[in-house]
Order: sequence, then structure tokens, then C-alpha cells
Amino acid sequence: MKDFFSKLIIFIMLLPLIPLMLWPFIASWRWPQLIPLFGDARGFKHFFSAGSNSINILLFSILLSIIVTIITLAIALPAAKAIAFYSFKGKNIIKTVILLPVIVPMVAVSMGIHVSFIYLGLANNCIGVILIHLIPGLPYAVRILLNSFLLIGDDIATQGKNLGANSLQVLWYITLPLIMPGVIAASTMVYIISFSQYFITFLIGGGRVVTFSMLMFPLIQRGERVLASTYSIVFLASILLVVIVADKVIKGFFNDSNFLV
Amino acid sequence: MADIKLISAYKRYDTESVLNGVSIHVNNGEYISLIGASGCGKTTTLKIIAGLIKACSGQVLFNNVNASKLSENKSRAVIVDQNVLLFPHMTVERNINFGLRIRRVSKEKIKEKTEKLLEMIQLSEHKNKFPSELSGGQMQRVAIARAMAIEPEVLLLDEPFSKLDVSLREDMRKFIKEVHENHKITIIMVTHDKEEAFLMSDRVAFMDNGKIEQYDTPENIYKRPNSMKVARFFGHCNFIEGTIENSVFTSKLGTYSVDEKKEGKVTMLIRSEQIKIVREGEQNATGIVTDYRYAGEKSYLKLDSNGVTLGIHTTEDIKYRLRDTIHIKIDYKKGVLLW
Repeated sequence: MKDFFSKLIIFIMLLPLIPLMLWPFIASWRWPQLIPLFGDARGFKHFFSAGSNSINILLFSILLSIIVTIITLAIALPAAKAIAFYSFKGKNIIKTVILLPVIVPMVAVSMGIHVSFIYLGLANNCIGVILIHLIPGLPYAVRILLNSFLLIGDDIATQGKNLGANSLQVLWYITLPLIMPGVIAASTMVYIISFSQYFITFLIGGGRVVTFSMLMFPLIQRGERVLASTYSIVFLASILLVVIVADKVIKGFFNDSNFLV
Repeated sequence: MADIKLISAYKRYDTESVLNGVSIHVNNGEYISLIGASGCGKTTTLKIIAGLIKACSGQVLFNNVNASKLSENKSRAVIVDQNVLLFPHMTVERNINFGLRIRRVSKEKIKEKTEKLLEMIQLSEHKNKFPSELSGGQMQRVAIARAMAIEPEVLLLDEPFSKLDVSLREDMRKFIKEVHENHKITIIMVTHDKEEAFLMSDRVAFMDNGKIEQYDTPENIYKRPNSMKVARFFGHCNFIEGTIENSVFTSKLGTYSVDEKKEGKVTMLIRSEQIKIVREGEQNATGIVTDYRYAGEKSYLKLDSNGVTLGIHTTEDIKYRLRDTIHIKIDYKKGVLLW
């Protein structure tokens, strides 16, 4: 019974993907046609055509989101560790402040930041977009990593130090491999959040920094079903691919047998 | 191997003071135990010696060289935690040689040493297993081998047997004793189990309230405790209040000549096993049974002897009833005077 329900839930979740998979190959599907008229996959033709520049934009978006993910992790790792293991004044306030972007609507946050970015010359360029993309992902990354740190505790790192490892060695050989599931979860989350941003990229990038979701938005808005579903499939596939590759690379890299002798 | 001195160590956390001037001297190759109730500061003392906690004041000397300022990873004392703390992502073999790999020891030497240690802990055939695949006792042995790999000057054991089954404890005790004897290493063990402390150690330090109350051989600690606190911790005891005048101890239970020049009010400590139930005529006191509890190999009795409450235990298989009058012989010779 339990098995049946879990299968049902998976089926319901995957249901919207069925028309999405069909639409790129449909020429027309009007009422009262029950079976659509399949065409020549013009969506994919458009995607791969040199004029659309879609592949370049996709690659650029992937690169941008990878950079965002790396920077987010670089901030979130020490922050989560500090919150997990150190006691300091204002710890609870900092915990709340880190979560704020999730609580306060992104529009409100980014409008204010936009004004500051114009003053600082960060509007309408890539650096500004990367910086603004850090904001929605950071709270999730810190939360996930905080739990990972709490799960492994501080004692095992202390034991490593007691056996002669310095802080960097402890981080590299003990802490990071142990919190790896959390790191993978956090980076997947941050990557997807960054990759899906439309509004804040548009606002801060001023239309000059074009990401893949910005390319998709007008297609969806115009009701271009064939193109919209084609691009959506590419969108999903690219995320899946990046996440799988990242998972393999990270796990492979932090395999203990790669370390020291 | 090292001779270790901890000199008046104080430690405070915010408002709570954990150590109030702990001084202890451990000789080269000695096995000592720190014992006391939870929160008495024994683990803190151990961690200060390990260099994992810095004392607010005081010094740690290894072979008379100050080690108080050394960073955590330069300590020459390795701690084996009660939670074992093996690295879960490393195999047994790589756990053991972690410290050697960190020190960039040559491959051949690492291999040779790891094999030797695996043999010592009799886990050679498990070397490629992960800690999660081992039993509690095996994990403990790996943790000890991992500590021994880097040849520390002192091995610190933080309640090493507390998480083990009773049947395993005996084996582990034997194993650690062997390690101590074969490697002539200095060992400091924290425990709250008095039998364990007595069985294992050359000397025992009883701690209370962040201070060492008595630091002596197991025999002296048991037979000649320097305070009621120490006496109570290490066994059932009776405190008989009385006075000494002209080398005669007088209490409600009677008089007894003692070899003591000092005079005045005094409490005599009599251990429960120093009171024997005897036949009529052989007694030096009598008592009325006020409580009787059967506990298998022995029974616990509480007696009222002329207004003095005495707790005794007997291995004789006799069932006593409340209000029975029994004859007892108190072995005053073994009594300890606590002024």
C-alpha cells in the first residue's frame, strides 16, 4: 500500500512533464483533435540555430551559476561552522539576518540593492548579477551546512588536531569529507536557485546580462508552446547534468583514498 | 614516555569555575587514574594536559619543559575519547596511520608500523573495514592503535570502558594493561568507576569540585582516606563519632585503645566489611536490625547500636528479620581517625 502511494505521488509529480516532453515535437494540437499532429521539432532547430545564440547563453548561464555556487559555499561554510560551534554575542541575530532574504520578498530586497549597485557601478554588469544571485541562495546554503556541522560535531575535528593535523588539514581531510552530503545538497540548491533567477537578473543586469531563464521568459509569456517547452526541457536537462557531474566530481575528489600517500 | 606535571591549573567558563588549582605529578611510565563524580573537572584536567583546552592559569610540564603554550596539534599527549571518535570515512588501516600520514612519514615506514599495530590489536584481517562495520571493543582498540601510532609521550584515556559491555570491559582492561607494560608508556585515565581505577592504576587521584582531594596508591586511598568525602566515594563506610583521651577512643559503642597522641573530638571511619557478625560471646557490640536487603552474593544490613547507625554487609546466607538483635565485632584496628 505504502509502495503504491509513493508510486502514485511520483506519477503525479511527473505528470506535468508528459505534455512538456510532447510539445516540442507537435506541429499543431487544436480542439477537438485528440491526437496531436507531430511536426519537425522546430523548437530544437531554433535552439541549435546559430542565429538564436541559445547555446552560448546556456553555457554562460551555467558558468554564472557555478561561480555563484562556489562563492556562496565559500561564504556559507565558515559562517555555518561559526554558528554551529562558536558562541559569540549576537549569534541569534546573525542567524535571523542570514535567513532574512527568504522571509522578506526578493523584490523588496533587490530594489534597494539596485539603487546601491547603481551608485557603486555594479548595475548592468556580470559582477552585479553574480552578487545579487548570492542573496537568495545563501540562506539555504547556511541552513543546510549548519545542520551538517551540527551532525558531525566538533569533537572529531578536535581529535584530528590532537593527532597532529593543523586546521587546514583537519578541514580538508576530516571536516569536508564528512559534511560532503551537506555540501552537495547545498550546492545543488544554490545552483538551481541561481540558474532559475529571472527578475533579479533582469533588474540588476539591466537586460545586458542575459541568462537562460531570461531567454525563456518571453517565450512562455507569448504562449509559444513549442519553443517554451523545448527550452524548458533544455533547462531541466542542463540542471540535471550539472548536478550529476558535480556530485560525481565532488565525491570522487573527496574520496579518502585520494588523500595523503 | 614522559614525566608530567600539572601545576596549579585554574579553569573558568564564564561564571562557572571548573578547576580550582589542580596540581598533579605523574612519573615516567606510570599509570594513574583521575576519578570523581561527573562535573568534578577530571575531563577538563585531561584536556588541559592534552593541550586541547588552555588553562586560565597554571602550567603543564612535559619532562620539565613547559608545554602550556603549544598549539593543539603539537601536543605530545594523545587522547582517546570515550566516544572513540574514529574517522568514519576512513578504513581501519587509514584511521590508524592518520597521524603518520599527516606527519609525512615515508610509505614503507607507515606500512610497517600500521601492520605492527594491527597485529597488536589483532585486527589485521579487518584493516579494510570502515568503523561502522566494527564492534564497540574493536573500535576502541583501533582508537588506541591510532593514538599509539604517533608514539605519544603520554596516552590519555577518557572513560575508555564506559561505552563497552561488561564482558568486553575485562578484555579491554587486559589489553590496555598489556599496552602499558609492553610500551612502558605513561597513561592517565579518567574514570568514574572505582574498581576500574584501583585495578588499573599505580596511583589514583580523587577529584571533587575542581580540586584533587587525595592522590595516592589505591591501597592508601582505600585504607587511609584523608577525608570523609574520599572515604565515602570509595566504599560503604560508617563514621563513629567520639573523643580521644589518654590514647583511648570513647564512643557510644564503647572504648578502644588507640595509638594516637592527639586528643579531642574525632570521627572514626570503619568500613562496612570491617564489621563482622559473630556468635554470642565473641562480640564487642550488639545491634538491632533496622533494615535488611538481599543482593545475591551479599546482603546489606543496617543496625542500630546504642544510637549509632551502622551499615554492614555479609556474605553469610542467613535471613535476618527487622528488630533481630545481632552480635557484631568491630575491627577497630583497621579504623581510620578523621580529625
